[in-house]
Amino acid sequence: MSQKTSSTMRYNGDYFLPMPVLPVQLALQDAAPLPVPQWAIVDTGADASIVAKSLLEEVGATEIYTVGVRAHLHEEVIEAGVYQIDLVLFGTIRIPDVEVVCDNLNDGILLGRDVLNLLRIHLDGLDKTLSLLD
Amino acid sequence: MPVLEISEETTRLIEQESDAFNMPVDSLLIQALRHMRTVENHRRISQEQAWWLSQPLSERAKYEGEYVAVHNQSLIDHDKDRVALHDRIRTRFGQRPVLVMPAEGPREIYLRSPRIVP
Repeated sequence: MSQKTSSTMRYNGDYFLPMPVLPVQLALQDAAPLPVPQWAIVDTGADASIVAKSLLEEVGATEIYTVGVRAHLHEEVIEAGVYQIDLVLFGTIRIPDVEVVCDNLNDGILLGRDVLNLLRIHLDGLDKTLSLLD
Repeated sequence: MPVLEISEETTRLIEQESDAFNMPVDSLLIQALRHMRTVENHRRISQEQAWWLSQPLSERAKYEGEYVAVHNQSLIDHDKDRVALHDRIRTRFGQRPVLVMPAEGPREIYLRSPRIVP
């Protein structure tokens, strides 16, 4: 059974090895998104989506609670803020009311399974493309 | 553009930091104010969360499976529907910091890709 592809994006070759990414804009509920999209990393190993503090500050989001975050190969659990925001993918697909974790150290956005499990995504490693399916 | 009167000492300090960060004064001040707000909000949310988690288990268990909203160390609302609760709190409080969390406490987030955690 074939599925219609709504958007396709090339992997980001700045990484070793090339990384599946897709354009994401942040927005407060019912508000226009930030004008400049960020290239979010697709990470099926992450329980939650992670967003840089500077972006959460720019959009004007407010922390709602804190969680402990643990990373593979690190023993330490780090406390981080959780924010509720809307994500806009490919400029058109709005995912409302997502709880994201604030990243105080790194730039950019990492899309975890909380968001990825809402989408039909095809990763073509040979062609180095990510496709969002209808 | 409105004019803000500030002392010469403050002006010097802002210009020094603007040079040090190689940022226009406007951008520097906006970033600094946003950062202050983030830090203050985090402090308040952490306090509210610590208060809620210090409540007797018998009290918190009444809301198992729900989200709770806490402000000034009082339970002000609760709902099984996270989004509906969040909507009510934002209507009432705007972007002021109000704790909205699972009543039983937050679950730990795990990042399986090696990464410096946030």
